[in-house]
Amino acid sequence: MEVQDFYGKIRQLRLSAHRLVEGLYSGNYRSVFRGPGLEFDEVREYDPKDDARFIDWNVSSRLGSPYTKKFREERELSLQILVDVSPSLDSGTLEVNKREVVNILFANLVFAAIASEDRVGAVFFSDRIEQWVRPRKGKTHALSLIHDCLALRPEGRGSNLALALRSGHEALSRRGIVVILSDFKSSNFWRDLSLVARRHDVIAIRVHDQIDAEFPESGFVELVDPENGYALSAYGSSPQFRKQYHDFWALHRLHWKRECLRRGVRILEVGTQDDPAAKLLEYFNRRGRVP
Amino acid sequence: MWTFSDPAYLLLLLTIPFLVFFRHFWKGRGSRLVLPLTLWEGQRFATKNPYLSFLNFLSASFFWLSLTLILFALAGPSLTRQKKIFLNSGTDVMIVLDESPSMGARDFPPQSRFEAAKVVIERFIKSLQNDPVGLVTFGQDAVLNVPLTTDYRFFQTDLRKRKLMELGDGTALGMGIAVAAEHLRTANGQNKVMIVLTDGDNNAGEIQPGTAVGLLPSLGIHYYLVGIGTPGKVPLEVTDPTSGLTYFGTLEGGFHENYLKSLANPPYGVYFSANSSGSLDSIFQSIDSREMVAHRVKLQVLNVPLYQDFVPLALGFLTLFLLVRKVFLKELL
Amino acid sequence: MSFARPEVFWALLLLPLIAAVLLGVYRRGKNDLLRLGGAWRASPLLSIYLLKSFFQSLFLLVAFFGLVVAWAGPAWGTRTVAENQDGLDVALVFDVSWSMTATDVPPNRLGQGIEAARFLVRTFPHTQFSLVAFKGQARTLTPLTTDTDFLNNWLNELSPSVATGPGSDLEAGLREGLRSLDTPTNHQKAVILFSDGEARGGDTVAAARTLAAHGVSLFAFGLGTDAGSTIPEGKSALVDDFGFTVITRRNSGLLRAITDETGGVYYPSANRENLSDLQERLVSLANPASRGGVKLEAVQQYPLFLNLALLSLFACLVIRILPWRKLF
Repeated sequence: MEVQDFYGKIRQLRLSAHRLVEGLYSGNYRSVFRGPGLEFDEVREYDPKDDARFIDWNVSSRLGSPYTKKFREERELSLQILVDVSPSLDSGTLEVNKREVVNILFANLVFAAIASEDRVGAVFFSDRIEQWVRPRKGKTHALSLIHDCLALRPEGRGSNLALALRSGHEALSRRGIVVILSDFKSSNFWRDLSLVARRHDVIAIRVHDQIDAEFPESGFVELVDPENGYALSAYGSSPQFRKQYHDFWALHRLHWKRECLRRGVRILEVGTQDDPAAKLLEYFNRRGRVP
Repeated sequence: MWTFSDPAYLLLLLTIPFLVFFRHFWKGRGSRLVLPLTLWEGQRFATKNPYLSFLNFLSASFFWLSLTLILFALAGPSLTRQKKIFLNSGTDVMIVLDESPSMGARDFPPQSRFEAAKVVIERFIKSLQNDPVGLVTFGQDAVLNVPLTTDYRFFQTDLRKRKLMELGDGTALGMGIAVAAEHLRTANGQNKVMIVLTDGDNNAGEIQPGTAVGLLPSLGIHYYLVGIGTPGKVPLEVTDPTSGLTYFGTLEGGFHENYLKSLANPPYGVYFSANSSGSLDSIFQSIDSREMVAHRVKLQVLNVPLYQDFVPLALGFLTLFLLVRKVFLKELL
Repeated sequence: MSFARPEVFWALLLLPLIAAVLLGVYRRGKNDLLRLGGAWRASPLLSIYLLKSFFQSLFLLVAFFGLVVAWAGPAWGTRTVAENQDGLDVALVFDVSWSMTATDVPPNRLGQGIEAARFLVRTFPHTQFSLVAFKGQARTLTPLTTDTDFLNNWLNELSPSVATGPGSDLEAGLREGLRSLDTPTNHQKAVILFSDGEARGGDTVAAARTLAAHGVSLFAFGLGTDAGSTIPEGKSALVDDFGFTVITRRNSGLLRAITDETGGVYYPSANRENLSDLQERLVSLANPASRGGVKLEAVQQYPLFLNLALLSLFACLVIRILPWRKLF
């Protein structure tokens, strides 16, 4: 990608990220993520108002009077973003394709994380791990990450989410946040997702286009899947065909929602017709609760 | 039999399976839109549309059919037929048939002399291939009905139309022979034969049979007098064509064998006695073997080109292909 | 350049129709393509679509054109073909419909024809002639024979009463003439037609084509005048059902057209000069050696157009099969 374009794009993304960050600063970002938990900060003298459960018996016995533990929230978060760069995202029926939506979401998340002084890393995956960046802090790192995202040309043709989940899992030593940016046209990843979700906070952001739900009324055309060359004759003028198409993807979507929720994975769906930044903002404002 | 004048085009037909493969099955083929249809290593979206799939298949086959037909047409298909061509002219045979009332005698039950004669003449004609044959009939008068010709269909049609007594109730045998001789004389054939079928007697006409027959050797005409009939009493049935009346009766002494024998003049003229239809057959066979010359024959191959039937078919299939694909199926790419 | 079936060119009207259909399909396709492919890559999608559609349509139309022209049976140029026929068989086909009794040529149209026929029979004593007469139906009066007396007898008898049926079925007359020439010899065959060309009913040109396909040359004498005449009936003229006097005119156009189909000659009258000319032609027909033992034949050019169609369809296929710019 041209250097000019790159910085132009960054500027654009930064502007939208700012709005997001403002929203996030109002505390909602933190409210969504509990963080890895409360961290032991220091001890102080026991006050009758305090909760008796938190008395530190060791210190109390050594010092001869009751002392209670003081906790503070973990200030540092690690954000790991799993980015699907498989060819299935190169489709879209409007002015943007799904890949571009992913890019915008990625950039926004990166900027939001950096602005909150969190560490952020990424795993770019197709049917293999295309690139892996370990979580770090700082603006330079952010720009480098976003550059990687925009410039990446995948070598693989496939969506191996299971592999990405495993890599992401290993990369995060402490408890962190894992965001998955994908269209989830993958299978056999639920077990790995369960494992990750047990330890980390996971948000699954499904990027979709209206063609992932409905087939438009069109003439007869031959279709071919970008990832495995599977071919199909599509009779768009047939209501029967359109219904079959709709049912297939609707089933897949329902399955995805149910399985995610079962594992405590938060979900967000962003379409090519949506403003990605606005969607993110809306999501965090609602504290990650889907209406 | 089918032949192809440019069979090399048929070899091109062998490329069609390859073309079909590339157009319909090759993994790298174009004119397909890229769209995600599957879950990686998981489910694939599949549909069942039997009617539309059939239309798809049918219209595609129309295209290939059209292409095949064009190749066939280019290969120059034609139907060949072999036709026998005769290189020498054959024997001229003039048949002289008695139509007098006595020929209605039923010597050959259930047929009359006349009917039996007609049957055996027709059989004889069927064996001819390039020998001109003519027909003279006589009653009160003698008339040439069919000139010497190889148009056997015409002869047969005319022979079947002949009726007893259409030329009157007399027997002008001499005139019959004379008329036949006159038309044989001007013919081109290398061998001239006259076959007279009669029950004898002469009671009309200006020329006596003896005189007429006497001229034949000098004209180079071999003649065969076939006496049809049996002596004694024979039932007779004849219908007069002009009045429409049918006469029934008995004929006695209506077979003049001796008279006919006297007209013979071997080796130019021979008398045969036909007292049954079986003997009629053998007489004609004998004439055949004596007179019919060998034919020099050549086989000619006729070619009927058929390409013009394939072309409109190809055009039709191409149109159908377009119609079904683009209009019914509304094909995009 | 000649075409065996020029009426086939009506099928060329299909071309603009098909072009219109393809254009409609293209326009509708553009919308569908954008809806499926996405506006984000509208530019490359549409440009490939335009190019592929245009060229596929073009080649399809060319293929159609080639097929139609090939069907029409184009022929140009000549080539020599060995002649292997000698000797001559001639069918004399007479129109004996009532219009032939018109007196615009002396003694009447039929009479002039009979005189001409007598001349031919006399001039060619060793040639076989057949005699066919037709009115509403055709009938062979004499089968092929060299018997001059028999032929002349029938020529004397020729009149409208010799054939049956009302009207003037030229097609039947020609076909019966052809049938009468069916012999197992290798002779050249010719049909000589004596008529005023006023045919009613039947496809005369198709019959002429059949004659040509059998290698039979058709010569025609156009008896009568273009100006026309009345038909004598007793002492007055023939009158039709509405009371109008019937005028019969010679139709040179038809007679010329049918003789052209076979490579024969049309003679506007049976005068001395024309008869001599015909005599010469018949002589040369009977003796191909006089023409060097060969005859000229027009070369069929349909393979050229079929190959054009073939290549166009192949080009169509290639355009369809090859993917372009990784899109489609």
